[in-house]
Amino acid sequence: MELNRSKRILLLASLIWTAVIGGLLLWDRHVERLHVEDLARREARSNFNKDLAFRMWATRHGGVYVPIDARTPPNPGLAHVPERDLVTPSGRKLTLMNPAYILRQMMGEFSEMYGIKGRITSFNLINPDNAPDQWEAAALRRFERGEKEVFEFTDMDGQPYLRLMRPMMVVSGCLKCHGFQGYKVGDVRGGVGVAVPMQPYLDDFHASVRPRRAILGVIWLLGLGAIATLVVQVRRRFDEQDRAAAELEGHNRVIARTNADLQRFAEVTAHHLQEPARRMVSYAERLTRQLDDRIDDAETRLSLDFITQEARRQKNLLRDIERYLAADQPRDKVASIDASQVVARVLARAKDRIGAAGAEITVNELPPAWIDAPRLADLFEVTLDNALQHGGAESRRWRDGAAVAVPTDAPLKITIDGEREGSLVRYRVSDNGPGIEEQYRERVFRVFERLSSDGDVASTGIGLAIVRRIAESCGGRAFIEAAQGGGCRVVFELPAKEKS
Amino acid sequence: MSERRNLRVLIVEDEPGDERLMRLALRQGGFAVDLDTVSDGHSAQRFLRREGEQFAHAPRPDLILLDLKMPGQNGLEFLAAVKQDERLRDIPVVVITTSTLGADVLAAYQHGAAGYVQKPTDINEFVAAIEKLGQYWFNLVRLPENPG
Amino acid sequence: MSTEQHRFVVLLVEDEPADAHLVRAAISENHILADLRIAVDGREALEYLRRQGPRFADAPRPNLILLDLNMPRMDGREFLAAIKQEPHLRDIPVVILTTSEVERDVLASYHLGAAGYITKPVDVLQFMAAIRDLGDYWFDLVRLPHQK
Repeated sequence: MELNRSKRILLLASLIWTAVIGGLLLWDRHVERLHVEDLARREARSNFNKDLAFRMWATRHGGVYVPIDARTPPNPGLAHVPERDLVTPSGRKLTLMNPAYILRQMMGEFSEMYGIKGRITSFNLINPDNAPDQWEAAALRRFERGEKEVFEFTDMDGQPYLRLMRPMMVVSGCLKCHGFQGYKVGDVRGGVGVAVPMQPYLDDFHASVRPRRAILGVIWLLGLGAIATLVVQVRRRFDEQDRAAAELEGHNRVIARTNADLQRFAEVTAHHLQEPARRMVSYAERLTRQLDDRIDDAETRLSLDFITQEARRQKNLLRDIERYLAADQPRDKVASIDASQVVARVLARAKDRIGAAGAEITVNELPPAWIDAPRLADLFEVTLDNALQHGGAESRRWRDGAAVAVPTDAPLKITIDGEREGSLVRYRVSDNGPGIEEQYRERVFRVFERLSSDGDVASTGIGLAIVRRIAESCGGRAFIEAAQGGGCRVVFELPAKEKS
Repeated sequence: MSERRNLRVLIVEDEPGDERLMRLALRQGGFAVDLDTVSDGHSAQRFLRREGEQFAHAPRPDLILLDLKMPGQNGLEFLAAVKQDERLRDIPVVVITTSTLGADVLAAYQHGAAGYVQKPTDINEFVAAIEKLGQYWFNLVRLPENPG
Repeated sequence: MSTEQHRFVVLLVEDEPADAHLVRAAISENHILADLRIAVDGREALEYLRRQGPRFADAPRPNLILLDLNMPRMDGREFLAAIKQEPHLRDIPVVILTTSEVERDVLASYHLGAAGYITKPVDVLQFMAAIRDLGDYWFDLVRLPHQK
């Protein structure tokens, strides 16, 4: 994996991870905020309701009379209310406290305990201290338009608050003190509200969110670390794989080159060694002819015979080695070759050998094969020679590791036939000789493997190996089975047409 | 070795009698050959180059037997033309003619002939000569593959 | 072995002594009246034909050249191309005598002007027969330039 790619992946993964963590963080804050606001709202409502309940109670009573003292002077704003002040039969002086007054005193004296302070306000005031601020004024106007509640988070003196306000409706009890202002029952007299300071809630919020944020931060860092490590590891693995693959390829190239060199060397060697071998055969035969009538000594004759024989064997071996090496490559154009024509030519070339073996050859109809003509000729030539050599009159059988002579009276008959089966074509070269025992039928395909050691020069032990190599290089195969009557049958299969 | 077909011989000979003898002799020798005949140098060249409707499908010969004395373009000119043509020069040409002039012999070989046979007057000798010719060109030597 | 006894001179261009000797033996055993001269490669053959150097000052002009293809220094193809360029050497017929069966060599030889291509038979008897047939064509059938 190249550097840029892994960097990009790292970046992308980090961004995604950060987005996930960031999202979690935001969602957490959001939920926490909602929770906190919800708590604040609840507090606001409960305080508001308490507040309102008290006011309504007090209003229903038309106010509450309390003893006049220094902290509770008569309310000048109620001057117009008859019997604002009373004296008890025992001479105690009482004055009327309106709900607002009561609350104001209560809030003043038990401020801490009371907690959240509510307020009544109106555009039509008796007590100017109750004048609405900007927010309240806006709320009052909305009440005039018909809204029933204003519940908002807003600032007061730079501090965050949650403010709740509802319109105050005139009930009959209100008229006692406020009737003179021209209200009727059901009118909107003003608004009653409560303001919950949000700072404590916000402090709680932050206090709650902070540790979680820290945890998320740690998780984020750990995640980044994991991503980085992962990417580095993966990249390392890819690099290792690439290196290993390149090394393997390098090795393979070296091996292929070495193989090609060896093959070439073997081919060139076999080719060049054939020249002196050929000359030796020529002169050995010539010497034999020249001395033929002049040799009385059987020993001399024998020496000459052996030289000739071995020279021939060497030539044949080299020829077959060369053929074996060349067996896997076509030597001419690969096409659908008429096997009958090829066999006819092979038989013509082998006329002398066939005559020497006294063999009778039968060739049946042969289908064409997809191969080059020279190699098809080799296949038939080798199998024919095989049959001529081993199916002959004086043949031996390989039995229990020893050669046993089995004279045959029947003349050697060789049959060549073939058939097409699907996408392959099968040729059979059968003889009526002694055949090959089942246990040796695979062995004979090995190079230099021969079944007789009778000094037959023509038999190099490579022929069947050549047959198999040619067949297999075309995608076919070669094997031996028993012919009818016990003889040997060499079968080779080739493709019938080009592989599409 | 691709499929063996009969070898093709182009006989360039204007004397019908001699031409018939050559055919007879080649057949008698048992040579598997197909024969084409043209009677002068110009036709022979058109034959080889497959010019004109007549010779559009003329087969490429493996061997040319050439008489020197012919009407129109004489044999030597034809021989020279063939041996100078890159595509035709590898076809062996054997001169079979009546001329006994040493100058003709030299000229033939100078222009690339692969043999000079003096037509024997005796028919039997003529046939024997053609048989020997066939033995050399069809049985002994190897000829290049003919693409057709 | 003076030239008077022989009617023909054959120049064999062959680098392997064993192969050269076989040709000599075949000529002799077929009773071909030819004086066989041997050059071991193309270069020596050219020197012979041009009569260069003291060795070849009196070298008799061959009537036929038998040419191997694969030789050191200058191989058969080069030699053939060279002599077919020289006006006084090009009329000597050249027959290739080689172990190569490669089609490419066959075509190249005829293209350069060879008058025959023989793949040396492996069998000695067949080799003898081939030399005999060769002699039949070149010394019995055809006329050669500068023939005595």
